[in-house]
Amino acid sequence: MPDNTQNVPTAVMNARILEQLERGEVKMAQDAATDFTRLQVREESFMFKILPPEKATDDMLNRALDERLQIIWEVEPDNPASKWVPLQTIPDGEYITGSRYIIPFARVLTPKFVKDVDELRTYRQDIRKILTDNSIKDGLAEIDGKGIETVNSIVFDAPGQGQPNRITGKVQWVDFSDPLNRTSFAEAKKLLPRGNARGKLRLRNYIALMNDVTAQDWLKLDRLAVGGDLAQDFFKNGLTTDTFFGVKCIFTIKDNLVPDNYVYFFAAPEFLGKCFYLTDWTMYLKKEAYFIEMFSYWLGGFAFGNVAAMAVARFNQ
Amino acid sequence: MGWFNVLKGAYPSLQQIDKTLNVAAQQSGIVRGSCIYQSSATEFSLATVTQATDEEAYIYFCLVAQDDLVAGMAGSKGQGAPNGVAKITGLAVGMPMEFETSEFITDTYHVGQLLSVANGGKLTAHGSGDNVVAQVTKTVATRWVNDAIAVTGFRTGANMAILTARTLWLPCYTCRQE
Repeated sequence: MPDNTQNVPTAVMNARILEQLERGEVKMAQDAATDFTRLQVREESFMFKILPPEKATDDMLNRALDERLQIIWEVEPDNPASKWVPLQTIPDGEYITGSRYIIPFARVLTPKFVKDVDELRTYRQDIRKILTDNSIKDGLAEIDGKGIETVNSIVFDAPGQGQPNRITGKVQWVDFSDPLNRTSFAEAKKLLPRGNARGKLRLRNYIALMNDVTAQDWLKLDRLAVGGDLAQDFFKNGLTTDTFFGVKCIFTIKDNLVPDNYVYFFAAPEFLGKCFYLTDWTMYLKKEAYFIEMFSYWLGGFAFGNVAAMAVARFNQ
Repeated sequence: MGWFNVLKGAYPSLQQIDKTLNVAAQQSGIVRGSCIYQSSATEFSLATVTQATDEEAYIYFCLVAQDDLVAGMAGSKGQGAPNGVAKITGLAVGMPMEFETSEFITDTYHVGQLLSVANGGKLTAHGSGDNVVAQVTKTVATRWVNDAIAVTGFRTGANMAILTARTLWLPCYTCRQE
């Protein structure tokens, strides 16, 4: 449901929510908080930008012998290369076998927050924000944290930087002694398009992820590196573009998840994996006498079906 | 698969007292109903006889098997149990409840008998000097349990031996110098 309350003044919105709580219309206050949470999480989660969540319906769930929730998705079958042959030759046989991967589900659950409703009366900022801020932070930390942890477990699964990944045979982790600059970024950008030793798993860059401290290195590029207009624009206005060499970049403030000098590259979602949710962010709100308690939850799961579709470049190493 | 079912008590409910933590490294055999304890600030381990005499080893009943996909997804990497650290939820034994479990050492139990923990996270007869975690309320009986062996042989249920008890947390406190 879209949030239609963005233009309502904060004082009016606060009065409305307090009135709803006063009258016992918890459901309405709950819906307002749910909309607010969904909007914020969608905007602020970098994993959701890399692997956009899709609504799963019950008929998409694969039934198992027990009650587990899972969706099984197919991976494109690999195929051997074609070859030049003399005439009078018939093709080599190859039986097509595809593989599939499971997207298991689990619930993301925030702590249960409790507040005396009368203490909210003195707030001048948006009460929805007071109520939902902790939930949003917790939810984002869990989803983005798990996402990047999974990515790290994939890209660093190699004997060392510049070495082929143990699973894919493709180089997915490279360290540069140079800082992030035009040359080093262009080199890093080659990771995904370059295949493994068999020439497989060649992918295109779709999005890059770095923290906003690392991103400041772009500002060091002078007019010789970025051209006069852009160098002037950077000098006056700071980072005014998020697309470099045709790759859209996400700048995150979460440097605890994406450290300084790390740049992650991802292929487009259709080559990367799947993220499904069964229950979108929902705020549960309950009022008992003058106490309100609330927590929020999200039921979903994600899986990277193609572990070759991500890479990391570390600069200043 | 283990069987654990609360007959009376605050489970499942928003009032249940539980804790969700990662499974410690090298742990195996944690199923639903296993007795587990917090082996570090962030991890659960399967209880053994050592925990029977450790009054600081507070016991929880595990609600989800460690090799369950959901435990894997909830865990630190989350691509299923084989590729991630499973995260499991334990139900605190200090919560008053009467429960059925399949996770006990085969023995002849009588009503009122005190129970402690044994190897494999199973309940066993209490011995002098052990922590008490439960008290028998009904002797061992068999009952049909859906999903008891979900995959093996493609059966979805089994007759299982079930012990019924109520939780009773009495740590065997011995004055000791820290």
